[in-house]
Amino acid sequence: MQRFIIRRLIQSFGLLLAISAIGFTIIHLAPGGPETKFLLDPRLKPEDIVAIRERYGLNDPIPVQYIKWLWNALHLDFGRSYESLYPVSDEILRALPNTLFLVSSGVILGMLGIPLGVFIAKRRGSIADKSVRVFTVAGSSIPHWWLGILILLVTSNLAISTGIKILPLPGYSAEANGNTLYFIWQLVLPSILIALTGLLAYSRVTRSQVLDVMSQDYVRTAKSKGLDEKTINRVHILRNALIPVVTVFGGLLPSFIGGSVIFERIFSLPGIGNLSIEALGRSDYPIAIGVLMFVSAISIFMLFISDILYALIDPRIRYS
Amino acid sequence: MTKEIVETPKILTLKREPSLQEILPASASYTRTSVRRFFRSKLNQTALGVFLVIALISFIAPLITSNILNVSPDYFRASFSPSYAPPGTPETLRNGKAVVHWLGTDELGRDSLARLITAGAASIAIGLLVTLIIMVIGVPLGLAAGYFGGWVDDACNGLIQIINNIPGLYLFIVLGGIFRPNLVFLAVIFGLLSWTPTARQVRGLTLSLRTRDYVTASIAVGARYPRILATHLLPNIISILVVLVGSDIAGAMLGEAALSFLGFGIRDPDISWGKLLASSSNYLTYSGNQNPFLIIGPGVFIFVTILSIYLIADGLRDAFDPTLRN
Amino acid sequence: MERFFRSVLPTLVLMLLAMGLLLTACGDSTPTTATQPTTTTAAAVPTGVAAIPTAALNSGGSATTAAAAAATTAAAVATTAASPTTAAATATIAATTAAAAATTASTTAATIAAAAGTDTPKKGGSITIVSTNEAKTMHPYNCTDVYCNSYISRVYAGAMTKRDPKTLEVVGAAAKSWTVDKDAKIITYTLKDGIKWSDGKPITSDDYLWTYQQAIKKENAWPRYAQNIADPAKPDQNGAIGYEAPNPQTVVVKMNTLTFDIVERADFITPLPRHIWEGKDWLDPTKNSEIDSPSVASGPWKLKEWVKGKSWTVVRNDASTIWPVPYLDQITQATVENSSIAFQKLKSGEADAIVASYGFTTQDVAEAEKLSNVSVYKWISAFASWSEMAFNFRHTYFKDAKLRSAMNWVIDRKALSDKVYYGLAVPMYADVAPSSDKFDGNAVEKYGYDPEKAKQILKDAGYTVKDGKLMDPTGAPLPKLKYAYSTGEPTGPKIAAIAQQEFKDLGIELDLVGTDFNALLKTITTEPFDWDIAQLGWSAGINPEGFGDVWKTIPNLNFGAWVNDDVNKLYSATQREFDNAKRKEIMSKIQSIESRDGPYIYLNANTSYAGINKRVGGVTPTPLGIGFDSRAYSYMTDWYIKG
Repeated sequence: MQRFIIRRLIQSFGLLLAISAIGFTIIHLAPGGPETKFLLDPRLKPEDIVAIRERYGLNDPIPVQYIKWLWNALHLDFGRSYESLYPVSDEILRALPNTLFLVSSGVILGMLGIPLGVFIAKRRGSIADKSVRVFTVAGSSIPHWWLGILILLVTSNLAISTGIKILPLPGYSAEANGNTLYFIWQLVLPSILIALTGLLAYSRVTRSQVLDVMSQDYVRTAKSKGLDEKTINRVHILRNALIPVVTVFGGLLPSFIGGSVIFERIFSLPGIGNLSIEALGRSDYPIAIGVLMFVSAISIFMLFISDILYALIDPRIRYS
Repeated sequence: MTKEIVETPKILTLKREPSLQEILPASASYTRTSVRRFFRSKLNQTALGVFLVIALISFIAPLITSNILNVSPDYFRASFSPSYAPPGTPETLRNGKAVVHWLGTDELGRDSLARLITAGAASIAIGLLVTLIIMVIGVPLGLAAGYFGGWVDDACNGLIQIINNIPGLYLFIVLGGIFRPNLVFLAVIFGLLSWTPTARQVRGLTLSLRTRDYVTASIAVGARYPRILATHLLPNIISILVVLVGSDIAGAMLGEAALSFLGFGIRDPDISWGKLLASSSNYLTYSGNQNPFLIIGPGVFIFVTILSIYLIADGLRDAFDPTLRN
Repeated sequence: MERFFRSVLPTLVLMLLAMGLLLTACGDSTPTTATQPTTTTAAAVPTGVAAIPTAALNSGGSATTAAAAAATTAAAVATTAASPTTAAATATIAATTAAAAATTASTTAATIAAAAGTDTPKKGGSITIVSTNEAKTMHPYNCTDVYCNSYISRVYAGAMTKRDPKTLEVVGAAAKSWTVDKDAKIITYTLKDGIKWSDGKPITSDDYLWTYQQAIKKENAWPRYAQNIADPAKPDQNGAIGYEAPNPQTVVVKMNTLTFDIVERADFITPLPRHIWEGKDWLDPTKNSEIDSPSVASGPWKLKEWVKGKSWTVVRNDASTIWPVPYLDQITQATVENSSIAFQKLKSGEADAIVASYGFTTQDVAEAEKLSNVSVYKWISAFASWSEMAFNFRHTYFKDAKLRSAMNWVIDRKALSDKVYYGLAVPMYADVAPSSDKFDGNAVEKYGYDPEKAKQILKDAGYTVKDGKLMDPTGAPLPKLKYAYSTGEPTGPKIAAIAQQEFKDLGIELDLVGTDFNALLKTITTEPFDWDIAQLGWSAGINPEGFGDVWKTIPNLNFGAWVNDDVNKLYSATQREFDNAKRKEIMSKIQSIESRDGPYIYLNANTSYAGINKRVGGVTPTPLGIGFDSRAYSYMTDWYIKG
C-alpha cells in the first residue's frame, strides 16, 4: 500500500509537470499579449512593444520562459496578474468560494441521485422507474445553462409585471445588501441546475450498478441461504454497488469545475472559471496558467484520493 | 464539460469482472436477434425514424433551401427584408422570386427555417465526427492495452490520465485563439479529449476476454493477433460500443452548444444549433420580436434530436444487453 | 416502458413548444406606459471653441478601437488618455457605444433640459449602477481601460483642466489659470486656492511633482509612459520633457513640441496624496492597501467598499473641493456579467442606471423606452464612436477609386442603422463625426443606397460581370475577398452579413472571417496582411484633428496602408494652427478628399444613450455624456433622488 501511494504520488507529479508544459506553451502561443491593449495607440513605437514584453519577460524563447516560471512555481510563486497586480494565488483564493459553492452543491445535491438510483433499481419496471428514466433522458437532452437563462428571464419578467417574486436576479441588490438569506435565495437556481447534472449521472450509474450486483452469484447465494432481505440489501447489494459510485466523485470533479464556468457567467458568480476566461481574453498569462494548474492539481489530487479510497473499501483490490 | 457529465461514467463498469453472459462469444445470430429485438419496439422505430429524418434534412439542407424554400440561409437585403417577421411572411427576393418565410425571419431578415436546417448539419456533423474520433483512437488503444498488458497497458493508462486531467474548456479557449475554430477543428479537439472512457471500457473487456479458454486455445494453436481480434474480441466489443456511440454524439452536441454560449464555438459566419441557441435568449427580452421560433426553434431541434439519440442508444442497450434477454 | 414513452414524448415536445410561446409572451409583458418617457436629447456641438490655448485635442487623437472590443473579453483598448482621469481623455470604449446625429450637427448649443422638472435637488439617497464589466485595479498608474478609469476618476480628481459641457471650451478644474509660453513650450498652471484632500490636507504642487516622479521611474512601469513623456533627443516626439513645482501653487510643465492642444497634453498627472503614499510600495497592492482601497480622495466620492467581482461602493466626499459636493449619499456599481440580466435589473428597479459601455444594448433601448420606471437619455457625444470598413491598399485592385466608390454606393447606411443599431446611429462619410464642429456636410460625398449607380460606375470604368463575378478592366476576375471582423460584440457579424449580401449584387464575393478582437488585430497589423477588407470602429477624440496620427502609423493604426500626402500635410497643418476657424477650413478639405478617395467605407456614427430610473433627478445629457463614465463632466455630483 505504501509503495502504491508513493508510486501514485510520483505519477501525479509527473502528470502535473506535463500539463503545465502543454498549458504554458499553448497559452503563450495564443494571439494577443499584454501589449495588445496598446496596439491602437498612434504613438506606440516598435521599441515600446518590446519594452512592454520585456517587462513581463515575454521576449525569451518559450522554453526559457517556462523554466523560469517552473522554478518560481516550485517556490510557490505563480507570478502576479498583469491587470490587478495581485499575486495569482490571491486572485484564485478570492474566486474560489464561488466555484467551490457551485461544485459542492453539484456534488452533494447530486448525491441524492444515489438513493434515487437504488430506489428505482429495486423497483425495476415500475412506474417510478419509468418516470425517472424519462426524466433522466429528457433532462439530459437540453442544455441546463439555457434552461437557467430562460427561467431567470421569465421569472424576472413575471416579477416585474405582476410583483410575484419567485427567484431573485443575480448580483448585488441594494435592498438585500448583507442579507444572507437573500444571497442563499439567489444561489438556489444555479445550485439546482448544476446539481441536476450530478443527479442525472448518479442515478443512472447507481441504477445500473445495483441491477448488476443483484444479478451476481453471491447475491443469489445469499438469497438461497435464506438471509433476510435487509441484510442482503445492506451487506451485499448496497456495499458492492456503491464502491464504484464513490469513485465517480473523483472522476466527475474536473467536469464539474469545467461545467461551472457557464453558470458562473450567467449567475454573475465571479469564480475561477470566470477568472480564467477573462484572463485569457485580456492576455493575463500568469492568471490563465495559474488557474489551469490549480484546477489540474485539484482534479489529480481527487483522483489520487479516490484511488486510495477504492483500495481501502474494496477488499478485492490488491495493489502490489 | 457537459459531455462528460451527461453520459454515464462508463469507467466504472470496468472495475468489476464482466459477468459470464457478457463475454459469451458473439455470433452473427446474436447480432441478428438483437437487431430484431431493437426493431420490435415502436419507440425505437420512431426514435430512429425521427433522427434519420432530421439528419437527412440537415445534410441535404443546401438542396432544400435552394430548391424548395428558394432562399439561402444567409440571404437578406438590408434595405428591404422584414426583420423579426412572424411565421408565414412573404417576401420578394432580389431575383424576383416570391418566397414565404414559413418560420419567420431573424433580426436581419434571414429565413429562420433555412437557418435552422442548415445549422443542423454542423451540430450533427460535430456529434458524428467526435464519435468517429473517439472510436478511431479509443478502440485500438483499449484493445492494445488490454491484449498486450505490461508496458503498453501502463503507457495507455498514463495517456488516459493526462487527457482526463486536462481541463478541456481551457484548451478550447486557448486553441480557439490560434486556429480558426471551424467544425473539424472543434470536433477533433472534442474527440481528442473524450476518447478515454471508451478506451478504458474496451481495455477492461479485452483483458477479461483474453483469459477465456477459447482465446487461450486460439493462441495455443498459433492464431495471429489480428485473427483473434477479428473472430473473438471485436464482435463482443461492438455490441457494447454501439451503445456508447449514442451518448457520445449527444454529449458532443451539447458541448458544442455550451462552447457557443461562451463565445468559443465554430467560427462566424458558420452556424450551428448551439450558436442559434446561444443567441435565443436575446430575442426573448425584445418585444419587437414577432417570431417565437427565434427563441424556441433551436431549443426544440436540439432537444428532439438528442432525445431521439438517447432513446436509440437506450433501445440498443436493451436489445444487446444479454442480462436483459430473459 | 414503451407505452409510457409513447405518451410522454409528444407531451414533452408539446410542453416545450407551449413553454416557448409562453416565454415569447412573457418577454413582452412588461408594463408599458402610454406617455413617452422624458427623453432629453442634447444636440451637441460646440460652436465657438475658444481659440488659443484652450483648444483641446485628445492628445494624439486617437482613440481607439472599437466597434471591436469585446465587452466581455475586455479587449477594451484605451489609449492616449491625456491623463487617466481627465475628461479630455480619449479613451476607448467598447463596442456598442456612442454618438452623433447628422441633422442636428450644425445646431448651436445643446438643448439641454433637466429631466427633473421642478424638483429641487436635496441631499441624501443612494443609487445602484449596473455594469457587465468590472475594473481590475484602482491604481491610476496601472489602469488601461475605461472600467478602471471610471472608478478612479470618481475618487481621484486633480486634472488641471476639464471641458465645459455646453461650449466644450477648456476650463480650469484643479487649476484656476494657466499661461502658455509658445516659444519655450512651457505651460504654467496655477492651482485653485483651498483645494484639499478628503482628510483636510491641502493639495499642493508637491503632490503633482511627487506623483510625476514616481510615475516616470522605470521600475514603476507606467503603461502610459511612452504616450506622455517625450525623449528630448527626438524633436518631433510629443510629450513632456520637464516637470517642476516652483511653489505650492504652481506646476510648470515643459513640452517637447508645440501643438494647439498643448494645455491638455501637458495635463497628464492625477496627483496621489504624497503624505499617505510616500514610503509605500508603488505597485504591490498586498503591501500598499491604498492602491485598491484609497483612504483619501480628491474627487467627489470616497471609496467605501469594493467586493471584487460583485460591487463597488463609494460615499459622498463632503470635503470635495475640486468638484462640487454631490447630493447623493452613496453610489454602488454592481457587476452583472450577462447583459440581458443587467437590463432586467434596470427594469425591476434593482438597478438605477446603465449605459452602453456597461452593457446596455441598442436592442434594449427600444424596450426601455416603453418602461414606466425608466427614462432613456440620448445624446450626441463629443467623443464620437463610429465604424468603418477598411480597404487593404496592399492589393492592387483596391487602388482603383472607382471600385471603392461603387462599393460605397451599395451600402445602405440607413438600413444598417435600423437593422444593426435599432436606429441609434447616423451615416458618416469621412473621419469627422457629425457631432463635431469640424464636420462639413457639404464637403463630403453623401453616399446613398443606389446599386444601379454603382453598377454604372463599374461599367464606365471597364468592369464587366461574368457568371455573377466581377471582372476587372483587363478581364481578370476579382478574387474572393477576405473580410475580417470581430465577433466580440453582436454588431460585428451583422454588419459583415450585410456587406456580404450587398457586395454580391456587384459580383464581389466575400469570404467572411470572424475572429475575436485580439486575433483580428493580429491579422490586420502583421505580416502577411492576409485580408482585403477589415471591419472596425473608432472611438474618436473630442478634436478630430488628432485623427491624422492614424494615417501616419502604418500598420498599427493605418492597417490598410492608405497613403495620401495631401491629407497627411493638411493634418500636420492643423496641429500647428491655433485658429479654430482656420482649422475648420483645413478639416473640410480633408473630409472632401477622404470621402472621395476613401480609405474606408465610412458607415455610421453611434448615438449615445443611457437608461436611468425616473426616481433619479439632475441627469443632464450633454456632449460630454451624463456624468457617468470615465470622461464625465460631473461624476454624478448633480444627481439626486426626486421627491
